[in-house]
Amino acid sequence: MSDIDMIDQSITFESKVQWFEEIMDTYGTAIQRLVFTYVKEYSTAEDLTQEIFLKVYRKIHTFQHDSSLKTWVYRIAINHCKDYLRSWYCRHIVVNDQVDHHAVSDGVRPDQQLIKKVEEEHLVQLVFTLPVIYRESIYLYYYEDLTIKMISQLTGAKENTVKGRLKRGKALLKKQLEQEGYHEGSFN
Amino acid sequence: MKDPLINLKAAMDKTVFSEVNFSDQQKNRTLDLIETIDDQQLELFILAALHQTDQSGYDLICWFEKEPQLQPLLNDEGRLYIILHQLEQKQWIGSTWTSEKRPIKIYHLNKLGKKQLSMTKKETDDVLSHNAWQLNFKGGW
Repeated sequence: MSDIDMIDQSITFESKVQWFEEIMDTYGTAIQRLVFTYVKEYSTAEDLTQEIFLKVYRKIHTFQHDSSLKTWVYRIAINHCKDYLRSWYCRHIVVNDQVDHHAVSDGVRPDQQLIKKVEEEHLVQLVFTLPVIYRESIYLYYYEDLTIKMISQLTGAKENTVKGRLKRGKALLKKQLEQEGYHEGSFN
Repeated sequence: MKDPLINLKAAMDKTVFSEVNFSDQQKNRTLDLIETIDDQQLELFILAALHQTDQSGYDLICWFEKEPQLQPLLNDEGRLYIILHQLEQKQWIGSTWTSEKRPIKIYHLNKLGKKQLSMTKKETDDVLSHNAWQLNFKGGW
């Protein structure tokens, strides 16, 4: 357990602010990336990240040691993103299609490195087209390197549901890749 | 085909996340906003305390001192009186003076303050609740 996991009853105003700064230093970028994975829009991700940290600050005194700080912060973030996605504003106003799409250029035969880059961009692009429940599981599993159990805790889905979503999400990706003619050994 | 997602992290870092970082500017902007939150929370705790019983400012400070989780909210006692004054101006609370030789100001909750308090209580906080909702993937978004 690191220092910032420790917040106890003797906390003062100064130590609270310091603790809050440490939380932002430790999780700021991770949370903003997580948020981006849900909302797919840079400026929205920034706004929501700020709202999430303010929520964290507001709730610091409710943090219990029965979960780790990371779990607690991530859960606030994930719920905040989901609230945003189901909000009237998001469903009616926002066009969630801002992830850069780089098409594979044809004509010139690109070198290996370029192929790799194009493939990477394409894979990321495909992940972002997945429905949010699959994208969420895949992101937490492959990007955050979290266990199924942890993902279950964070998302509120049962462990078997998480496993199912990972499997289904991967199947959707593979199907898409195969249809596009990516062969055995791609992306390795 | 092998698991195409093995390299997802590297791929995301190189592409879509190359511009997604939490900057110092964002951090400072967030820090600028936390004072407002402390004030709002203090207001709420004061309303809750006055809901239980009418009290003087000194009583409130004693009460705050006994509640360890409230202490970080109250950086200095002067702030409590500023907020009490603001609450009076908003007419959420009122006050009367005792008839002693050295009168003491006793604060009480007003109608508006009661309303405010009950509204906040109704605000269900699902942030930490597990089963807040399930995404409807058929509906998409």
